Amino acid sequence: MTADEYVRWVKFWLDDLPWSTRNELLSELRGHLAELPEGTDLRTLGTPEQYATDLRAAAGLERRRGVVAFLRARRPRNLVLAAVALTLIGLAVGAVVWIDSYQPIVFAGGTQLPLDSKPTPGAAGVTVAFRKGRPFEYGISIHNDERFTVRVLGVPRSVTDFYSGQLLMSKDQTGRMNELPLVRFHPFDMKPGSFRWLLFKGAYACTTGAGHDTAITWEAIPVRFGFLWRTGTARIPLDQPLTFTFPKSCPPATR
Amino acid sequence: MEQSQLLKGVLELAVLAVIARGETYGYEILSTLEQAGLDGVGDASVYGTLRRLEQAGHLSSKLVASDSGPARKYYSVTPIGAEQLRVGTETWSRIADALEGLLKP
Repeated sequence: MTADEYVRWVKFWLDDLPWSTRNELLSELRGHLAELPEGTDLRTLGTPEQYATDLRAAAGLERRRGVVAFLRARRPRNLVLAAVALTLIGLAVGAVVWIDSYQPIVFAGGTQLPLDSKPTPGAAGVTVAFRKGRPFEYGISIHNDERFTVRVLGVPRSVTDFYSGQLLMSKDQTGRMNELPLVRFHPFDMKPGSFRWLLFKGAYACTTGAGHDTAITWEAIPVRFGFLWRTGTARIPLDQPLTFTFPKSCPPATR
Repeated sequence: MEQSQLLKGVLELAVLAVIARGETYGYEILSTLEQAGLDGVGDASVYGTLRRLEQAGHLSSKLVASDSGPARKYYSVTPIGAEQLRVGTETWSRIADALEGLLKP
């Protein structure tokens, strides 16, 4: 065994000590080994383990326990345990992050446009004029594009909504061709691969205070859903923007 | 009883006594102890004892560059260490006298 190997092994047996203490002890050992006459058999010092034990005993340095000492003492077993613990923590964090970002609901391609919708002049999408009290109907089909079932909870109403009425839904349309009728919405489990219609039915109403000659454009529809412990809102992008124009001002109804 | 076991109890006193003769470093302390007939004390025990005495304030140390290798750590006895040596020496004398009386045939 060379002097360097001897120091390395003593270091191994002192690894639980604070770095400064250990480095002082090892630096003294290096100095001592350098002083020894050439060709000295290091076995006269005892095994590195014995040397470390004697050093501890004489210096009053107990073997340290606890997490810090455990991590400092880079024994193979400790490394394996630490690696397993880190892997488990990593997997748990990964799972939580994944669950938090899981969003399987997508636009399924079907749109029921409001009556009197017309292509937007000079731009993509369609436009429809707001006419207070007239029937309002708008629907999209949604699809669970991923591998796990989620619970669809509804479509949140926004303060900028300019209609009154109710949300309707279709049955699961898997294997069917737009088989209606529609029923009043209630939360439902959406299985992987399934799709359904969600449809608003009601009348245009002045709830937003939209001014004369203004417009509101929808590019996505929010859908609330639940997955395991989490609820979230999926923003379902539409295939084309839908613009509502307000030819007249539309003050909210006063009470 | 092995000599090394007996020595461990008085190693602290022996190390203090060696350093009290004048500033010195680890390897020289070991050599002095051996020359005095106290062989069989492990090198590790001496270095451990030096550390404990220094931590207790009985020794002070300084690093001095060496021609032959790494810097040497030179130890000297502090006033507290000197007092410890005096008390230890008295105690040792008493024990030695008592033992001598007991061990006489």
